This record gives sequence, structure tokens and C-alpha cells, in this order.
Amino acid sequence: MEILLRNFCLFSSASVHPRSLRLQRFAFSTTQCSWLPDRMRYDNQTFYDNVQIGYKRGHSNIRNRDRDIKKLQTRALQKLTRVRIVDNGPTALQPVIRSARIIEIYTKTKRHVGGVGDLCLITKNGAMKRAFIVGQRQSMGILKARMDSNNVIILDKDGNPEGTRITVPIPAWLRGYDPKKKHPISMSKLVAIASSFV
Amino acid sequence: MNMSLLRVIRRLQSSFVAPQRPTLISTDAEKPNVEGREDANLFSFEYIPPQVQPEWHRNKLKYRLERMDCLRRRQAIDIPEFYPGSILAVTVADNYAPGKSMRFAGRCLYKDGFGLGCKFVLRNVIDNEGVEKMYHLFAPYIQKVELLRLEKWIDTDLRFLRDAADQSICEIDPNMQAESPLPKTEELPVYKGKIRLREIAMWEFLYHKQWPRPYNAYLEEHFIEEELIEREKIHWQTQSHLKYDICKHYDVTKIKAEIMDEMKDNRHRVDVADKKITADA
Repeated sequence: MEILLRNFCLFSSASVHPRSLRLQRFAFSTTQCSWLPDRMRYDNQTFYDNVQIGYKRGHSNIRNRDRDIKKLQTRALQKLTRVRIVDNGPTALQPVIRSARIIEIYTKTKRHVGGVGDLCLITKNGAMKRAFIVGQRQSMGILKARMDSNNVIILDKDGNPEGTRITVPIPAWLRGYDPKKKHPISMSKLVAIASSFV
Repeated sequence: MNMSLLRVIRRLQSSFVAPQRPTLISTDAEKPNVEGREDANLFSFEYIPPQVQPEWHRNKLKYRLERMDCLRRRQAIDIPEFYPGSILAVTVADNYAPGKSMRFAGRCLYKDGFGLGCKFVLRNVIDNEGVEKMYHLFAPYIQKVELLRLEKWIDTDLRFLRDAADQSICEIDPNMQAESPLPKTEELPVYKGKIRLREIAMWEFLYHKQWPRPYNAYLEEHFIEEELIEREKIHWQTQSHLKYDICKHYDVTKIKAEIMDEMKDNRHRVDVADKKITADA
């Protein structure tokens, strides 16, 4: 149930900040979903007669924009997210008892969250394997493709991919990406395996 | 006959003036476009400023300068008119791509923003994987924007196509041939078809919570009557007031007329400003 509150303020001078007159809204029982239309940023328009519902002023300024995009990029996957294995190696082709999930994400600070371009540890049927994240469902900002599923490629200890082909399109910005991680990753081999870039 | 009578008759005859022959040529010139589809140099969706309250917060100089920048970019590249639902192909400059440019085709899901910040999103299904890409309309790294098919849907936010049962709506062949769009003198027919969505649980399904509700989708398909009744109750409690909210209705008719008047002068302003810049440098 949504509750609307109005902040009443008696003002005699013109020096009242207009933000205090805004309606306050407490919304219970709403979930935040990444694929939902964001109500503060975008308003679904329909073509009424002579009335156009314009776009709403969003949270981000010019100053905040890069910061927001970096947050979007790096906060997509965490522990126990289900993941789709996308190459044709032996782990991908085995039948699944419980879907493959992430256990650890290797980032500099122990944030336990990651996105495309990060290394992670995966379980499948009890076996742990190292994997490289190759597509995420969260939007990554401008010019970076957003996939419909969280995709992952399995690597060896030396950083070489297990499979020989990747069926699914891969973001094109990985071609010029240098993952500065402690564990080795051979980006050239990943790029050579991929079938199409987006 | 009486002489006075004759004089009267002659006076009346001399004062008679024959009426002018009516001209059959109409005075209204033929309009080059229908009301909704103006020339991009005069009016476009991106030129509408954001809804800002109170009125003294609006900086009209800022809006005018941004529209001038849009005009400058439009002189360099041809950006066609399109609406959410139409199919586009965009070529973008990329350092690591073969041929230094990348082409992506897709269906426009939404177009949002003011001025140079106008973004749009294209969706395509490649190898059974749905892919979406966001672009800035006026970005300098965009080399070409091609209109493959011009469509106009009732909804301007088509994100429910991600959950469509039949994903062939967004499956677009990258080598698709461009279909010639309707000329601007004719009104575009609006697409009123409804799309079936895949089966999702009620707690996960939140498209009915947005306002205005999407028209181009069947929202009631996979749910039983009791769930729908409960949902109607919640909607009555939480969202039935939204259609009466004045702040959500942004009346754009006056602003449109102002913008069109302004854009006629903006070309001259742009030329003057650019001359000054080149003269100083």
C-alpha cells in the first residue's frame, strides 16, 4: 500500500527551498527489478490528443553520469547467481543436476560483486571451475551490449578456454580489454574462439 | 418616355459595377508534411525540454543552445525520423573492428532524453540470444543511421518485448533491405496489434504496474481470474490516482509552437556563431 505524505511548511518569505514541498512517498511491497522500466527516468508515453507525457528529469547529472555507469557495469553478478555456460567444452555439455552457480568473484577489493570482464569460480554438479564472465543481464551503459542471460566461459588454470567454439555473441569491447588480474587470462584465445561480436 | 425617368435610369446604369470573376486557385499552399511528422530541422522529439517545476527553474537559454548543437550535428549527418517500434541499423566507429566500423541492426525499444542526451535502444536476437545496445542519437562516433522499416506503435516503451513468447518480432536479419518509408505528406498508420507474452509468475510480472499501461501486449493471458481481481484492487488503491496527476501530464502544444518559431532562427544563429569561432581562431 502506498502512503502519500505532504510536508506542510508555513512560509512567509520567498526563501523556501522548493524541494520541501514535494510529496513524500513510502512504497511497501515493491521489488526493485533491473529489467523494469525505471519510473524516475522514463515515463511510458501514449499518444493522447494534444498531450504528450514528456520524459522525467533523472537522478544523474553530467557529473554523476560516469560514476553511475561504472556502478552499473560492475554490480551485476554476485555469489549464488545462476549462470549460463556458453562454450562447447566438457563441463558445458554434461547434464545438470542443479544449475551452475557462482561461488567467488575475484576482484581487487572484496566486493563480492562483478560483471563482464571479471574472473569467477563456478560450481557445476559439485565440481569447481574457474570462469570468465562474458555477458550480463544488467545494462552496461552506452555502446555496450546487454544480453538476455548471464554468460560465462570456463578456463583452465593457465587461463586457456576449455571449449573450441562459442556459439553466442560476445561484447565487442572485450577485444581491446586487458584484464589486470592476478590469475592469467588469455584474451587472444577467447577472441579467436568467438563466432560473432556485438 | 419621361425625360426625368430616363435620367434616373442612366444614373443607375452608370453606378452599376459588374462583380469580379471568382478565382478558382486556393490560397493555402500545399503543406509539405502532416502535422505529426515535421522536418527535423524545425521540430523533433528531442527538442522538447524536460518537465521542470516551478517555471522559474527553466533556463530557456540553455535549451536553445542545446537545440543549436543538435542542428549542427544534423547538418553533418542525416538522421531519419523514427519511432519506437521501427527497425534501424547503426554503423559506429570502432578501433578493434575489421574495417574500423561496426554495424548493428535492431528494433527500437524506446527513445528517451532531451537534446544531445537523446538515447535509443535497439534489440536483436542473434543465435537465440537477445542482445540490446544503447546509442546516443547525436554522438560523433556514429557514421550512419539507416532506417530499414518505419513503424509507429501506440506504446513508446516496448521493453515488454523481452518477455514476448514469439521472439521473431525482434529477430532482424542484418542484411535486411531497407523498405522505403511513407512520404511525410501522409499520416503514419499506428500499429495496434497485441503481442503475447510468455508465462511468468504473478509476483515477477510487473508490466501492469506501470502507468500508462502498455497497450500492445496481452497482459491478462497467463493468470487466473482471482489473481486479476486482486491485482485490480491493488491498482485501485495505489495507482488509480495517477491519471489525474497534473504533474504527469506534460502539455506540449504551446511548447511545440515556441520551438518551431525558435528553430527557424536557430540556423542563422548557428551560422553567425560558427563564423565568429573560425574568425577568432
